[in-house]
Amino acid sequence: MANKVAIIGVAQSKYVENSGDALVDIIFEASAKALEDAQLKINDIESVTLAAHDMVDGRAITSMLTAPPAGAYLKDEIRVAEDGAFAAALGCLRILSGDFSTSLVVSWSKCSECANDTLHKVANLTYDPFFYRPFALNDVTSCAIQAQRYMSKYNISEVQAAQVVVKNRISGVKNELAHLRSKVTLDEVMKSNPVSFPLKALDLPPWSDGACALVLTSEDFAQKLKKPCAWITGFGWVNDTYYSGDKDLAELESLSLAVNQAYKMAGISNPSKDIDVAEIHDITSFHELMEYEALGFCPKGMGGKYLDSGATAIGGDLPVNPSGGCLSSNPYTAVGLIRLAEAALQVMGRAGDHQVPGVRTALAHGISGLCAQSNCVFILSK
Amino acid sequence: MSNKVELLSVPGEWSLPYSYSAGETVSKFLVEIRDNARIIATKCPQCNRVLMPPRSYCERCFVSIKDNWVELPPKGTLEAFTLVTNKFEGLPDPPYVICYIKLEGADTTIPHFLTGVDLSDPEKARQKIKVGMPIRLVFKDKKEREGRMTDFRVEPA
Amino acid sequence: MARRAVIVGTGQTKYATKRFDKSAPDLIYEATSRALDDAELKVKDIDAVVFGMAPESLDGINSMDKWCADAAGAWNKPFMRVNTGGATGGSTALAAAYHVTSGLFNVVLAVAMERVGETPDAQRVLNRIYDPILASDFALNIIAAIAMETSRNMEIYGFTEQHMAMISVKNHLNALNNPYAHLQMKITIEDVLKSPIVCWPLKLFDCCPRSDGACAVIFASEDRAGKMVPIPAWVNGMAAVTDITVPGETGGAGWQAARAVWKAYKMAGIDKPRQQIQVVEAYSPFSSMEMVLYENLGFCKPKEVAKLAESGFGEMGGEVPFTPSGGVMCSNPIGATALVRVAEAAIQVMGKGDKRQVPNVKTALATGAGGSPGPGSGSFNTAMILGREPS
Repeated sequence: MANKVAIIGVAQSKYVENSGDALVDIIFEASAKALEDAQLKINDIESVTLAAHDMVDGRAITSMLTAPPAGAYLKDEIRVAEDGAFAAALGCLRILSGDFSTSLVVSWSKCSECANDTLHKVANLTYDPFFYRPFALNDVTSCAIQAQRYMSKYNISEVQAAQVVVKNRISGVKNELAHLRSKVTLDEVMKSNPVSFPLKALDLPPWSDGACALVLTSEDFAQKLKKPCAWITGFGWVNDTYYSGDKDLAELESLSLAVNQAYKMAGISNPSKDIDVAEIHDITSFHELMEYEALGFCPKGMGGKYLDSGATAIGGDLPVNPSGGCLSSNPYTAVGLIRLAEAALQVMGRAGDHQVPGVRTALAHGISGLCAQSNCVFILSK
Repeated sequence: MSNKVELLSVPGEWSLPYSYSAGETVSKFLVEIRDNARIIATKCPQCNRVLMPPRSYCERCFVSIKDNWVELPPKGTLEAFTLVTNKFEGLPDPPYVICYIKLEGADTTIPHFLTGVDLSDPEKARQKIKVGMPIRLVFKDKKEREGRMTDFRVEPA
Repeated sequence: MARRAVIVGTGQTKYATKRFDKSAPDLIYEATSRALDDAELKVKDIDAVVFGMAPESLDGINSMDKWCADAAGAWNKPFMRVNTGGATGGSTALAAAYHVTSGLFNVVLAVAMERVGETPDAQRVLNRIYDPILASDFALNIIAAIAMETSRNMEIYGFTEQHMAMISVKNHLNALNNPYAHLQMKITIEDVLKSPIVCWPLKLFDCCPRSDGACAVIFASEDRAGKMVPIPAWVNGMAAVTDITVPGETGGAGWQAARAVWKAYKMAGIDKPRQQIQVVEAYSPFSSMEMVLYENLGFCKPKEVAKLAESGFGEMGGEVPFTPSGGVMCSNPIGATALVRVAEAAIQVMGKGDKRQVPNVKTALATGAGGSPGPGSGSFNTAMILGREPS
């Protein structure tokens, strides 16, 4: 990558089930904290890039009400209706254009404001009304079909997927900001309420409230500031076909294409060796296994075995989701940006109790759309 | 022979329930209306703007202002209005007047309905409504107040 | 500007109340194909796609962009969707331009659409954009909000319903020259003044229609431009500003075009807009807004706007034609509308305007506006300046 982009400020909410705070206040708090962390004032911010969904926020044009607390007053602001990682990607493009030295990137969700099954309904409403919507497809059922296809194609077991949950939930205990901070046993996962085969209740993330904000800057700006930062050395994002029936659900092809872009830019040729820690979007336990393969950490079909080897556990060769992942904290739209925030903290040595020792290079990944349709990957270095 | 295809449409209806948290700052404001029929606003110590509706941060100065309250009298001026004569689905039956009012001491305005004007002749009615005219707030009886913006109505003073 | 983007092609669908004949992806496919043809490119030449779409509740499908992405040629490509309310199309153009000026992509497609025809009453949906706790009880919608702004603006700027009618007549006349326009009808001042009052002072013919439709614009890096089309449109200035609008505080104009536009002027080296700009594709869904823009965009002082309207300033053949396409008042596929302004401005610069071509266009301005006046709520303003040559 000709010019790098720096992450100089990181802030996250404490993720909870029901915050009771107004959405705008949650957003303001994270945004102000990120500025403070970057040791900048709002006047230093030249652009604001946001990620939010109208239907998730329950406001017909959410950024009308949520851009102001995200520092957007009189700023050049754009909101993407994608996962937060994609806002970071656009923020990077804006900085690389040379028109802006700084960008405040913010994303959030307040799932507690969505009554009961509203978010599942919203997911069902994402499907086209003619061919998919009538068949009870939503976020859970479509992921379940994908997980089932993956299981049957590569002989992955439910136990292997359940071990992802055990691993990530133990990690969540060490992350003081995580929503779920309690261990679960393999038995508890396997015996949890069946939801949509093969997904059981604990194979799925919780619903959480929270916001995440990052301050990105140009290389010049960061170097003048002389503050420790995490460098974005490569990034890429790719969108797959919408009709899941058109593709092999067991393969996350768009993720492979996206990560290859990022690896190329960052000069990474041997991911399982070159990457020290990865924060990836575990929308279900099975998806984390599929992502190992698509990211090139292990060969195709070997996601289950790779997990069995212990490589992705704390202390392993390539710890995955030491923050606890989405399975521990799920403020829906913001999850990919949180992965980037956590990866940045790892690179900067600021991940506290869940710090992986000796991190030089980290990978962050976020998903947008159902059935992992669109994937965005970042490579960070010291 | 006609090649025309019969074009179909498929119906859909959205019903998505939500429950919005007012949060500390707005809750305090609404509780004050419900319990004491008082209007309180937040003031930014940096730019000195008195903000209605109250908020926990000043979006211009980007600082927290949630503990800076000032009381406002139940009167002010009408700053903008419209007389609605069209029936919009899901919205009230016309005619009605929506307006923005600035309470005395506030730097910003809030939307509300204007009541107390005879709307039977809309043309005559809207000539009686002037930008800048004084208005006052009339609160419902305590037992009817719920902690909503509709706990009071707005009428010409 | 470190690097520059150029527009090499545009495509639009015919705008209509409801396009029964096309599904959403069909509309995207049509706009995209037309833009590719216009630029003489194939889908494989597109490096990335930026998609614009405004409130989902208007279209009845959540994240409809995901469904339509394939039709925009975005399979296995970088793709993201932008949503800034009414300014969406403008933000989409900006985001696509940044993809190019970042140096990472050479050819980027900006495509935007809306299917306002899928819902029986758009204003019912637009009632839900206001603060759910503090404003939801007061039957606000876009028309009511702009009507309130207009009631103030008539005081501040000194124009009357008669002047508003002149603007409406002009736009409807212009639309007759635009094959894509939704409303194509000749009306008189009397027609406008006699049309049913919706929210005083806005009458039916002071307001935009609800339209289905899509628009696509292809941006390319400056080194590719010369090899692609004989006359590209150079992006000489671009900016966006999010404001917090409060009626009664901002002097009446809910959508503060000025800040974004003057930032863009500065980038493009424009300090005398009235002399240096030959055509404005303004985002102006209501007749009253255009006159406010005469002042906001730097063409005159506030109290002069009525006189300019009377003199035919913005008419075809006038000093600075505003919306030769017929503008938003004749076609409003909300999420696409601000991108349509960019496309129409590009068409003017590239000399492809046919019956609606303004003569000798060297520089054109396209504006976008979204959000709405309301308690603590943001409004989004975009501006793009296109030129026949790099500035």
